[in-house]
Amino acid sequence: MRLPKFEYLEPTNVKEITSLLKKNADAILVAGGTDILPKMKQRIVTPKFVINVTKIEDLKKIEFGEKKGLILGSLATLDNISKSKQVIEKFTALAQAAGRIASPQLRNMGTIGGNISIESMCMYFNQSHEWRKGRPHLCFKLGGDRCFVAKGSKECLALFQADTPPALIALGATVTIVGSTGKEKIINIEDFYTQKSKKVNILKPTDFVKQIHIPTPPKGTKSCYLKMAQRAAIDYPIAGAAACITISGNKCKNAGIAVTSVGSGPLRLKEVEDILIGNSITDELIAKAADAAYEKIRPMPHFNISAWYKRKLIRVLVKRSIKQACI
Amino acid sequence: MDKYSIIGKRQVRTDSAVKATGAAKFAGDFLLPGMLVGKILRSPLPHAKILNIDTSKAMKLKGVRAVATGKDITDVPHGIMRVDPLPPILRDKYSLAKERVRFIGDEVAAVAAIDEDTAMEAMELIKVDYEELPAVFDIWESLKPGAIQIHENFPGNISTLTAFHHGDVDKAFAESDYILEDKYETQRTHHSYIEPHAVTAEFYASGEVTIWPSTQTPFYDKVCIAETIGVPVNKVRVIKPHVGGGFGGKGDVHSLFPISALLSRMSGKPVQISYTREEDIVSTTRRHPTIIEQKIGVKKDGRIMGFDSKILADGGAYQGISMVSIFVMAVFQHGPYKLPNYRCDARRVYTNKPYCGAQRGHGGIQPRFVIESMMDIIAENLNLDPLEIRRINGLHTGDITLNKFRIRSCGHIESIDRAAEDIGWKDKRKKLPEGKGVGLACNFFASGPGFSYFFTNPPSHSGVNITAEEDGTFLLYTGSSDIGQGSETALAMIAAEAIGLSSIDQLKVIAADTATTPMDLGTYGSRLTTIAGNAAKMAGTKIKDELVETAADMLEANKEDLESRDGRIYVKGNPEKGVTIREAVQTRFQIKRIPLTTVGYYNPPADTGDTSGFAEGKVSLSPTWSFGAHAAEVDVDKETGVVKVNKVSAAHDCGFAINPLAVEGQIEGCVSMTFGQATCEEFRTEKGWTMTNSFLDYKLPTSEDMPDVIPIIVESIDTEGPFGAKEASEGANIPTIPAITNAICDAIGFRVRDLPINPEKILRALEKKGGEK
Ligand SMILES: Cc1cc2nc3c(=O)[nH]c(=O)nc-3n(C[C@H](O)[C@H](O)[C@H](O)COP(=O)(O)OP(=O)(O)OC[C@H]3O[C@@H](n4cnc5c(N)ncnc54)[C@H](O)[C@@H]3O)c2cc1C
Repeated sequence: MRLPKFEYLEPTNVKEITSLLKKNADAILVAGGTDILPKMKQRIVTPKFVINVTKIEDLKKIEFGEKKGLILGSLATLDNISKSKQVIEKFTALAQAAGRIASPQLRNMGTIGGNISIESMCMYFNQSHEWRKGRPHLCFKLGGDRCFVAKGSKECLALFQADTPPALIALGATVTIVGSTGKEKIINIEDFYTQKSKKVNILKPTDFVKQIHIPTPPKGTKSCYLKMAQRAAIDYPIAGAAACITISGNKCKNAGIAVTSVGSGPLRLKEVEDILIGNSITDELIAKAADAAYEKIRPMPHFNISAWYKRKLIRVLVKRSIKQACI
Repeated sequence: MDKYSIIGKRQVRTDSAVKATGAAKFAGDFLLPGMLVGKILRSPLPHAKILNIDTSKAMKLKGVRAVATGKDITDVPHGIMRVDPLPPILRDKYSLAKERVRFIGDEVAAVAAIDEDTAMEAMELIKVDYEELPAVFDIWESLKPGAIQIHENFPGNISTLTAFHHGDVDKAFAESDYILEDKYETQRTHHSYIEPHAVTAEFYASGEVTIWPSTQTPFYDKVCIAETIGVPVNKVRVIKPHVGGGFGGKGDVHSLFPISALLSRMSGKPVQISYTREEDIVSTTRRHPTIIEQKIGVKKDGRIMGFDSKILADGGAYQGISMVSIFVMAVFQHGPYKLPNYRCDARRVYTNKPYCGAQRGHGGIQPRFVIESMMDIIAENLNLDPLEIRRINGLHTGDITLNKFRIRSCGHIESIDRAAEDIGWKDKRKKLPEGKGVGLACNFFASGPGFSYFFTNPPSHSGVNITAEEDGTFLLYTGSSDIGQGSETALAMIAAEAIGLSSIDQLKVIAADTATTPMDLGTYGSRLTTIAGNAAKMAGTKIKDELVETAADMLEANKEDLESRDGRIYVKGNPEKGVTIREAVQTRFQIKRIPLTTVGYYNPPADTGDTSGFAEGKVSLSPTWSFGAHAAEVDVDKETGVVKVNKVSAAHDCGFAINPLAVEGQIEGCVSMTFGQATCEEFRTEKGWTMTNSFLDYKLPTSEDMPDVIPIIVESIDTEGPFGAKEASEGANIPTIPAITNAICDAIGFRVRDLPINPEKILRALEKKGGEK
């Protein structure tokens, strides 16, 4: 498949990005391109301008200091993140999530900024121009008037499937966004998401994700991300769960639990965290926590995976990820 | 000394270097001066009448050189079911739709332009007026009285119907001690060859056309192209370039071949068409999904008495090769177990979906899944060992089946024993902890079809010519198509052994050019090693005979006393007394001044059944048959339902392994394909729209998913195949699925009856079982 025609822009610093975005309304950012280029080939997105941001070397860095924590430039590749010694040691869930995305080739190209910014997906949306041609109706996400996932739904029900967001939520990350005025804004990764499938994040067309920050976890903290997909490589998760647990004096002092591929965004499961915090972690408690996750989520059937199965799977993944974060 | 000097040894393939370096040219790699890009406009609707096609705007676009529609082709539909007395209506498709489209993806118009972007823009400018017709997507809807007729000539939307009855099945059931009735479903799968369909065509001012298609059957392409564009057959030259896999998907003549020739004629320029992966998945063929109702009656000791199956296949919008598909699904049931009474009724139904055809293991996959599952259930219920029930029912060398298949060699029992041993059957079956299990299943497959469905009077099934060069090397001409399986290497090995050469480097294979190589029916039905191999052996033996005669004169010896081997012809028992093959060739040329060219050919024997028309199931189906058994070991995650296949021990009786390296590769490839069908692959459509049109959504297993595959070569030394060889490229595709599902049953007690085995199915089964307890 061919890319549509576009004008190509190549800024060399963040300021330039902001001004290019401001100047050109019909522009999109391309980082690794692994998500957006297929969409352009399918003519889901046909921008006039393509802004390649990968020339900004500074934003490819992965930096860590005990005090300042982990700073990931938005252009750090998934492969580098998954293989960084410090990320593996201190932010295990993130290394695991980044290392299970797509395939080695795609991880070499794909960036963390791109991963947190990908849109929700759906088999009625992620299709080519050829496929759509004879469709009598378009779905909400394509600007149409209905949702094919659930007849009668008043809104888009496409599925958010990125792998790193639940790990980032569990680890308590923040995102630095540069707005149209050039001003930086720091928000919790959780607040980055709208929980609306039609537009899953709060980014405005002129916004740019500069970096991601995760504070150094307190002593006694471990984390884990578990993903289940149809195949060992290439596939998006059927479900994914991240757990970050801090144990102090035999008790769970802090817990971060989040899941993906269950709805319109990555979901933090406060109910599950609350069950764990303040208690000593036993198999019974973990089972109770996993049941709470099962109760909380309300997935839709997607890509031949039923809601029934997804809920069962989340229960298992939450249980196992907590267990692994406690070993 | 080894019995042979070339065959039976691990031979690196002749095409390895060009492929490893990227130098090999595939159909989409040709760059001819002035070449245009061709694109095909497809139907966006599942079923519609074409009222009008307005191409004027597209023609006016700068850079567009030709726009073709159904009006530009003859009224001869293209299709490969041509042999007398098959009715012409079996050819039910045009390269470009004439009046009606029948699935989303049907070819409607084609454009040739100076580049791909222009061609794509032009497609948007073609205006097609359709009158939408009701469409049927489900076989039950399609079979309902009053359902819309997809093809006028096929009432009730039944595209193919076969009924084979041998013996007295009802009596056999009455005499059985135990009868099992069961029902299974299999899914559509796609071949997913690495190279999507592509073609380059050049029409010359002389009125001739040369086509380089990605194909398995160049001699069929030639005829279909000629008929579609209305030129004499001898004006069409088809040259098969390197092909990146076909697995049955490139054995049908696909529309792009005639279309490329047509566009080239219209534009006066060479034209290349390369399908996108999406186009390829949507518009080519795929394996038939089936619903099979099966009844097997046995005696207490497990001996099969009666066998009755009802097969219902969803064919999609067109016929393609499916008449063969349905036929082989029925007749391949006659092995590896002896069936004293047999009945099979099979139907294929049209629906408004992408159509189905042949895929590796053609006709074997679906019924074998059923039979091998049921053999296990029967064994369980009669308290028999699953291996034992397979042994006692097995065919043996010398057997003739009810439908007259001749079993000339049989490695059935050895395959079972070796696969079982490799997996550790004795220590594992029923002995592993809950969640782990082993299973075994057998196979049976044709070594090449004994009949042609295309030509009524082919010169032979396969021809091979060998010509000696002045320096004592040789050229081997074959019409057969190596599509990646290594058949050219196998033919070179066979011919080199027959001549008595010291290495295959002394023989160059020139293949699959319809203008220069002798006719061969093509690559399908696992026919090349047996059928083209026999032709190569004959041509090579004739060369040897001629040279031995010359050498006898040179050595003043009796030709009966001479042996040709390792590049020399010498007196048996006295190797010093001899001449080199090169010397023999040169002496012969010097004395006789007659070119040394031999003609080899092969036609399957007529003694395997009666050949009075294959619609009745009485054709000579195959010269000989392969056997085999796979044993699988699985681990089931009882919380998630995920099945991990750890290992497949794959024993295959290929008669004799001409090239063991290639046989192992074929066995591994076979397992990977049906491991995929067992565990994750499924071609899905929704209201006619293909939902699995990329390799993200169509789940082919990755290398990380693959189990360990242990290829086990069983050699039964066949009497018909060249040097005892039988097929090795499809039979090993067949038992993987039931071996895995039988192992799952051993692990968790759940019988998989529909494919693929997804985790959700397993989890539901596990929960149900838990609830029952
Ligand atoms: C076959 C396949 C399998 C895949 N499997 C997975 C998977 O298993 N899990 C998974 O999570 N993803 C998967 N992906 C999606 C994708 O590869 C990853 O999400 C990747 O991280 C995207 O990063 P990128 O840099 O390539 O993004 P791009 O494609 O460059 O961009 C993605 C989106 O983010 C925007 N964007 C990028 N960078 C910024 C920034 N700094 N600021 C603001 N906006 C930005 C772009 O405008 C675009 O809309 C898969 C993709 C493919 C093709």
